[in-house]
Amino acid sequence: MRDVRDGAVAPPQSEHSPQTRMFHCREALQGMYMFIDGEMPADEREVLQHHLEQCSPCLEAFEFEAEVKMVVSQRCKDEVPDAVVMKVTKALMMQIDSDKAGELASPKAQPNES
Amino acid sequence: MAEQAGFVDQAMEYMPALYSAALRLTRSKSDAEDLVQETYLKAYRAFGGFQEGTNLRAWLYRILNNTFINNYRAKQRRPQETELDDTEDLYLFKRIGNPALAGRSAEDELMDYFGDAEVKEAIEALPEQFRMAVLLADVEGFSYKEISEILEVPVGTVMSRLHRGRKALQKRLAEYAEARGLVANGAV
Repeated sequence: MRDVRDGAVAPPQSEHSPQTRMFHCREALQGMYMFIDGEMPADEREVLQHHLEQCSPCLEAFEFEAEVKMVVSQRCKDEVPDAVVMKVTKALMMQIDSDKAGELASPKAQPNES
Repeated sequence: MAEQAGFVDQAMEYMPALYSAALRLTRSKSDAEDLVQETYLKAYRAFGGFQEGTNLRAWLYRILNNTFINNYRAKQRRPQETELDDTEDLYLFKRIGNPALAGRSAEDELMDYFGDAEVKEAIEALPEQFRMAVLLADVEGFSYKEISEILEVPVGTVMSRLHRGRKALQKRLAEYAEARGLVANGAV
């Protein structure tokens, strides 16, 4: 998803050794779902965003994961048949009517018959 | 305290989403229908205890989930706390993330790669506790905190279920891609 890069300010290019880079990637991956789900605290988010700007493999992976999430959300919708809506509405109305009838029969609330 | 009379006005709009979730949970149209109906009747009866102004949608999902656990899970042989095999991170990305290797053009959207039936089937194949977490997060867009309230588990548990559930889902989707020859040899 393109919004992974949103809000990013061009950071100074930092030189890091392969080891630091690996470390960053592993950490980035650990926080991936929190990031994509919008559950990451702002300060951590900023650090991660900074990493993504410098690390295109991670950025690609993040964008892919966000796309998978979107596919799941879009591909999992069902129409509720009118008949079901009517059936549930009718059942509710019957319940509401019988409650009303109960109230009329005994104006004082009597949840339990004794 | 909410007035019961207001229930119908406020709650009916969530039926399509609840029905969809009920289908994924029960994997059966007639059970989904019953589950939705029962959820609405229970919610109506309990509506007096609902705090007006709080999250009605999340509250309805909690009732749906509890009703499912109480009524429908009993039908299955045993309520399972299934574990999932450990799946590597970025499972699908490693297989079809690179369009060239996966035999798709770079412009192709991932969306065109999986059909409704495949994604639904992949979700339904997840063990229950993972299925519900993934549905609530990815399909319904609830926050971790809301999911933790719906499922009545700590946020940490939500995160771990999501993490493992999504990986298992990807494994399933990769199988579909593979079956259609979308995963090239040596793509891993």
